[in-house]
Parts: sequence; C-alpha cells; structure tokens
Amino acid sequence: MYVIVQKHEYQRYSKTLDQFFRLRKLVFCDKLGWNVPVINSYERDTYDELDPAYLLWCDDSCTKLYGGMRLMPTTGPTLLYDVFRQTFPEAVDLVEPGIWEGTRMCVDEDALARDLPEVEPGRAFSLLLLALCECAMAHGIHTMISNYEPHMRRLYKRAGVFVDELGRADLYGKYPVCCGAFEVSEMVLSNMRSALNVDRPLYQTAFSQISANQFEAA
Amino acid sequence: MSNGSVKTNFETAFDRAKGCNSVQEAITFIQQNYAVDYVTYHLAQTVSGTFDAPFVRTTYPPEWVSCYLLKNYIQTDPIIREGFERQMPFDWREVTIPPSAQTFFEDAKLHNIGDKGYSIPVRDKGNRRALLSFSTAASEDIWDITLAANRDAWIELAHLVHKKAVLELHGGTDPIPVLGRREIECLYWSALGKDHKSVARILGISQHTARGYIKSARYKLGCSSISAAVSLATKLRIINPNIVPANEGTHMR
Repeated sequence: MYVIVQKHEYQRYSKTLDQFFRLRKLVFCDKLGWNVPVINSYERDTYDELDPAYLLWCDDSCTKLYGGMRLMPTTGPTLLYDVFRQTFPEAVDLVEPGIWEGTRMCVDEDALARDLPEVEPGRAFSLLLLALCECAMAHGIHTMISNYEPHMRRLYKRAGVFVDELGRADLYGKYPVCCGAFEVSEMVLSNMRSALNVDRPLYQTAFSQISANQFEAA
Repeated sequence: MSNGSVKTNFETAFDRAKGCNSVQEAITFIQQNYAVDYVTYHLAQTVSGTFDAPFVRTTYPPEWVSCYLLKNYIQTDPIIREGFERQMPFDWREVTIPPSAQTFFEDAKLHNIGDKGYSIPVRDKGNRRALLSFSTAASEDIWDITLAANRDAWIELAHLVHKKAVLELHGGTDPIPVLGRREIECLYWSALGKDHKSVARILGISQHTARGYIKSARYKLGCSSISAAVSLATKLRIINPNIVPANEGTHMR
C-alpha cells in the first residue's frame, strides 16, 4: 500500500522510515554516486529535519518498504530551491502553495524481486508515480517539481506522465541529473491508469487508513 | 449556518481579504464569504514548533476562546497539535482523536462548535509555521460540497492571511518580490495579451508549466489574477511591456 507519513506519524512508521533512509543510501550514494550526506547506513540531509511528508510504498502490515519519496511545499525551504539555485534556475522559480517538490524517489529492487516478482523496477517506479499523482490531487497539489536521471524520461512517457524538463546538470553523480515539472491533473491520472493498466486507486487516503485501523482494533 | 454557498468569486474574495486592515478583519471577511462557522489563523512563534506564545486570530465566540485559554486546551487540541506537524492540508476527519481529547470535544460541542473542519498548514521560506482552519457544524454532506468547491481557494487564502500576519507582527512593508526569468517572461507575454497556450508556445514549455510560472508569479506578487499581477509587475518595473525581457545566459537544455 501507498501512504503519506507526516511528522505526527513518524513514530508509528519508524521501521518503514528507517528502511527508507537505508534504501536512499544504497541507491543515491552507492549506486548513483551522488554526493549526499551518509551517516552509518543512512542517507539523511537537513531537509529531513524539516518534517517533510514521505510517500511510502510498503506491504499491508507497514513493515516492509518497497519504495518512497520525500515531499515538501515550495513555499517553504526546499532542496532544489536552496541547493540547485544555480543549476536549475527555472525550476526554483516555481514557488506556490499548489507546487510541491519531490526528491529522493527510489524503489527497493531486491525487496520487490523477493515479494512482488511480477513488478519489474520500471513498473514499480511508474506505480509509485501514479500513487503520487493520486496523493497530490487529494491534497490540492497541481504540479510536482522533481529531479531524475535522463533515462527515466522514456519510462515517464510510457507511464503516461507529462513532464516538462526545466534543466539538467552534470556535476552530481555518474549520470546527469534532470529537473522537471510534472503535471498533476485528472487527465494525467486517467492517462497513467490506462497506460499502466490500473483500474483502482493505489493511494490510501487518510480516511481509509483510519477506518482500516479502527477495523483492526475492533 | 453553512450551506455551501459562496458570496463572491475567488478573485473578488482574495482582493477583499487582501484589502482588509488586519488579520482579524480578513478572517472575519473570509468566514462570512464562505459561509463557514469559524475561521482561525494560528502562527507558531518559534521555528522549533512549540506554541508557547502564539499569534492567534479567530472568529470563535469570546466565551469559547476564554474557556479554551482557561482550560489550557491548546495542550490537548489534536487539530493544533497535528496541524503544526503536518505539511499537507487536511480534513479534521483524518485526525485520530485520542481518548485524552474527548472532554475537549464535548466541551466544544457545548459551545456549539462544530467538529467538521479543514486546516491548511503554511510553511514559508523563513521556515515559519502557521495554520489556517475553517470549521462548521454543518452536516457531512454539505461539508463535503463546501470543501470540494472551495479547497483550492482556501489554500491560496491561507498563504495570503499568513503574509498579512507576518507584516502585522513584524511591521514594515512588503518587500519587492524576486521573480525568476521564466516568471518575468510569462508575465511579459501575458501583458501583451497572450493566453497560456501562446505563452507556452513562445517559450517552448508546456501549457501546464506556463500556468505554473504564472501562478508562481501571482503568488509572489500576492495578486488574485493575472491582470492584477501584470499591472503590479509593471508598476514595480519588474516588467516593461515595451521591452522584451533579456534572455540571460544559455539555456541548460
């Protein structure tokens, strides 16, 4: 399932969050060679101290993580705004309550191969993006700003995502990093659902999370 | 009582709220315009998120405010506690009510305070945190309609009220906002009467992104409409409709 975890729920999802920080170290530091702060086996930066929302993909018991990303409103301090000012000037201009930044998007290929072998990594990314689109719409977000590797563009296109590339930088790792604006709309949502052959919502709204919990408690 | 009706459209509501002389006046206007029972703006004074000496403006009746203060409900009110920890706008039905807050809700009910509401966390570049909350005793069906119709407007208004509060609290005037190249270009072409579609074509970006830049420019300038943003940008000499904006440096594409 796909859930939004905000500060008031960090404790409840502490195990899944822990896995997310470990996964980020494996993906962004070890695999992509990004210059990101690593302490022990965790990748965490100062933006993780600002109580961001995390979109997490985990199993139904919320103990095993399959992927995730970090979400922050562009009206507040954001990574792309502060760090990439010089590199992505066009991206950092987008500051508005309905525009959010998504960073550190990643999936755990090993965990997927073990638990959901029918979901190959490309599809896993696409499903996470679809969940993001649903979640953004549920919370009044119309545009996501995000960074990604150039090869992801093909995948986005196949998944029915509309992304406008706003800039590209060569300095951060093995591959260039792109920054783009992702449209969030009914049209994108229905495009993605048909491209990915998904016919029901993926993202658990907070309402249904609560009722599920009450059900468990009862 | 709430009936989901809205008295004026978004632009008029935004301009009238912006024209109010104080945060109190602005939230009173917003409450009346959107026919909700109560509107409260809450600014956490410290960046660490503790609310010891907050700046609060509310349309709640004085009896409820004094009861709230007297019983120190700020320590138990789950909307406030979670509201400052959340970043995404939320419906109060999403909030899990701890048993310790039962008395608080019963007391609120005795004061005719409804239990339906929507709160919008605000985070600014200075990492200040605020919360604008709308509440009503309307039925669930009516509340769903009211919320669906007004959510996006309320989110913009929350940020407007916040800017007003920061000025009211810290004094001074609104500094001239720093607009980026794309925002300036989008405003320039809008000033010449181009719509989103034409602006997007001229700049080689998608229509959605062009709309994003214009919204962003509008937000930074604190304007309710593109035409208001264009006229303010012209007045502040951010754009000059007679001069094409300079294309600084090479494009990274």
